[in-house]
Amino acid sequence: MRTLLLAPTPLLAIFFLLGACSRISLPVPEKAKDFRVLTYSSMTGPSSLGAEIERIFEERCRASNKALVCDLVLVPEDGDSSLVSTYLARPSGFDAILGLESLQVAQLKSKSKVVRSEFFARGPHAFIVDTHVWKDSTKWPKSWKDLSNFPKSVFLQDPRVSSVGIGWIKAIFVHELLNLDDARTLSKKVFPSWSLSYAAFQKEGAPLVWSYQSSEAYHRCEEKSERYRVLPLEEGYPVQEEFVLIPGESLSNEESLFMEVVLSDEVQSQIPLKNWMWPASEKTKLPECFKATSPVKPLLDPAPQNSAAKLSEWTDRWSL
Amino acid sequence: MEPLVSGQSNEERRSFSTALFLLTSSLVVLPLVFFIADALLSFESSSLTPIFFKLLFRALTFGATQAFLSASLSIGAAFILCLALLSLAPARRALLESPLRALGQLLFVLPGTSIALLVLSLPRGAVEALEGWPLIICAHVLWSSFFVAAHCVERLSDWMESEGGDLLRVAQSLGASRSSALRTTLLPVLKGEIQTWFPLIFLWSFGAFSTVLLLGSGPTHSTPEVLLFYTLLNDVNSSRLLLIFVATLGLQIAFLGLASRSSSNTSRLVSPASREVTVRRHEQLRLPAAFFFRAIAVVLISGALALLVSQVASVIFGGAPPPSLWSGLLQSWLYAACATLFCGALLVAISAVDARTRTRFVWGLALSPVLIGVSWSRMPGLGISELPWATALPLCAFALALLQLPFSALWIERSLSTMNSDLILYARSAGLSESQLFWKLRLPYLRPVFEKVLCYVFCIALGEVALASIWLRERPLLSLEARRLAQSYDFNASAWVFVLTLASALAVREILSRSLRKFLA
Repeated sequence: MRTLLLAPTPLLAIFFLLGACSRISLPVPEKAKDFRVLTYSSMTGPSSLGAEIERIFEERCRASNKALVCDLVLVPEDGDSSLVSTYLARPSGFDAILGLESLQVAQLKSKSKVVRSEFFARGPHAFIVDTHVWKDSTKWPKSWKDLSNFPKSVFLQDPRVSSVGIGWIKAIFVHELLNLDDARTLSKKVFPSWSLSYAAFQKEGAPLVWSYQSSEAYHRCEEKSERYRVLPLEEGYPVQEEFVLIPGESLSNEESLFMEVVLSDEVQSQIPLKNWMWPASEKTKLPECFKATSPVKPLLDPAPQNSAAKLSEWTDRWSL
Repeated sequence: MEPLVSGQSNEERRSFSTALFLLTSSLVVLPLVFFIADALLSFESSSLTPIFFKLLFRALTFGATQAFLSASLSIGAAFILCLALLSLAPARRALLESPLRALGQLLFVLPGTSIALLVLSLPRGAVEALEGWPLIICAHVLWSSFFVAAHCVERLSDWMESEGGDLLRVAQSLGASRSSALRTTLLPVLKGEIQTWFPLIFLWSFGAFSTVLLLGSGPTHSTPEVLLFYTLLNDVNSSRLLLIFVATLGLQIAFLGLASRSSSNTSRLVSPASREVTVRRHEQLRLPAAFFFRAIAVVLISGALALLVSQVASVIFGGAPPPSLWSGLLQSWLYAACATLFCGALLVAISAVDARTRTRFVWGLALSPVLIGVSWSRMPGLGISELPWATALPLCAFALALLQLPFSALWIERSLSTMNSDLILYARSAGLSESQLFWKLRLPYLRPVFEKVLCYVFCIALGEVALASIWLRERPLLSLEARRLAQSYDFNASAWVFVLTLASALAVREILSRSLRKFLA
């Protein structure tokens, strides 16, 4: 029985050892810190815009001959969390945040210090139609009001965790394109992320998905396919503006360089075909296949600060 | 079975029981206290808006309603299956009893994620029509009804072969009609089974996470678990977390309290009366509506089998699995093996404590992976983004093993209550010490329970989503892949996940059975 009394001791030891290991930071040799950029997961792939930004930043940094931290690391957001909550959970862990939506910027500024923020890409949201499911385009809804006659037809994203879902919230509460009841009726399923909703949509799960105008351009440019089209609605669509943001109180040399790189022509010109958005710089030349995208009327948020203050309440109301 | 611990070892055993209870409770209670204190210190009443209260209320009512319906339908289906089987002639019953038991055991050890994948393999039209709460309830009923049915068949068979058959004959010989004889004799037995199973299925369904996440169509189908999960990941303010946490825990504890009180005998929840049946007389129950029961039973069993077969067929005819699944499987096996090892150690420990302590552990059924995950993740150094994989994996596995403690305690208590006391007296008179009694008699006797629980834990770990999403999200675990694949409508790949989990469950069962037989010989 004495041996039994000792049975939980190894378990206890393991548990507290694990706890201790995670807390104790052992002294490590002095090593140059990485320049850590928090961004969304699709920006971190090998052929993504993020990889291009990383390459250009490191090249320019090393060419500058200054004692800078030139190793850029792109850190994707935590699983289901948004960029804001991932940052706020570990604010000292990141030097820059790339890809925040305008309301998220305002939200973050209300909770944490931000030294500089610039918008680097934009793109109107849009419903994308699967023309194999909705074949007859003459029967497509022409306005947001018509759309409410098609219950359970749209795949949406959860605004608690997805910036595309925030675009949907803007359509309801900022631009008042449809009322809350109609918005709920339209929803076929709510997904935690854009990528899951779009994958399900491509498996013919629903005739419509809430996405971006540029999704049509993606299929045209990458797949040479006309199957997925923007649903043109006369009132227009809310625009998503993506920001690059430097948290903190002062700007380091690396952070200045990073801002410079993201806003440079070299990166801006790659936004259409790498990030599938419109570049912030209107001077940037767009690829031909991108120019052919069905036009939509863009709707800008007149007061993003006010909207950001109400975002939590709006999200709750939508979720109810 | 207290004779096992009589005499000089009683004091030792009591101190061990207290030590184990305090240790395991502290692992749960300390993080809870820390989390509550932290949330109270940073309390922001402004975030607790009336709409949030409505959200919380809706999650609680949705959770409770679907759990109530799931438990009621599961037990209803189980009883129909059970009565249909008992109304068959003994030879035909024996033919069906083994497949039913196998189906029950198989579905019960499968994690919620796999059950959700199984339900998603229904024809797309049916899935779309049922999406939301009907699909969630369908998964819970599928998961528990066969298991409960298998147990009830066993229990009612025993009853029929012993006092039940005699009681029926006596009642009929005294002039009672067949239906009233059945009503007066069978109902008390069924009532006992309801008192045992209803609270368990209710709590499991109320705490359901992966089925709700995968089969619900959005935030409107949030159980408190899912609401808590999203709040943890997306709301840095912990005031909301605290409120959901307290409300959920309060409701579960209140339900457990009610369930214990409403039971005519509290210990029935833990150890329903059971005894050795040595002579099998194979009584046949003559039910007035036997044909109706049999028709429903055929639909239920063939439906479940068709779902299983359709998943296997999709794998055979649907092409190769995505390569990421293999690395996911490997890492999931590692995670599950860790959880099984931890659980094994806890099982040995809990087998050694006294019956009273084991009964106390049953209150732990009110805890769920998300509750544990939330409280542990708020401990300094154990935060979501702070842990490296090598630390997060065993931590997560340990949390999972700890969560199985109440369930294990329940099983062990049930099993020990059927142990023959003469055997213990004989062993003691043959000169076996208390520790020898424990290692040579009690543990080998508990081998089937160990097998069941360890296999269950392994499979649960393979499909566990809540803790894995909190701590192991960077890893392509099979369960997280399953969630991603099912949500992106990749049903072929998700069928692979199902079949891999199923194959793992069967393999592990075999491995565990052999190794435990060797170890506890």
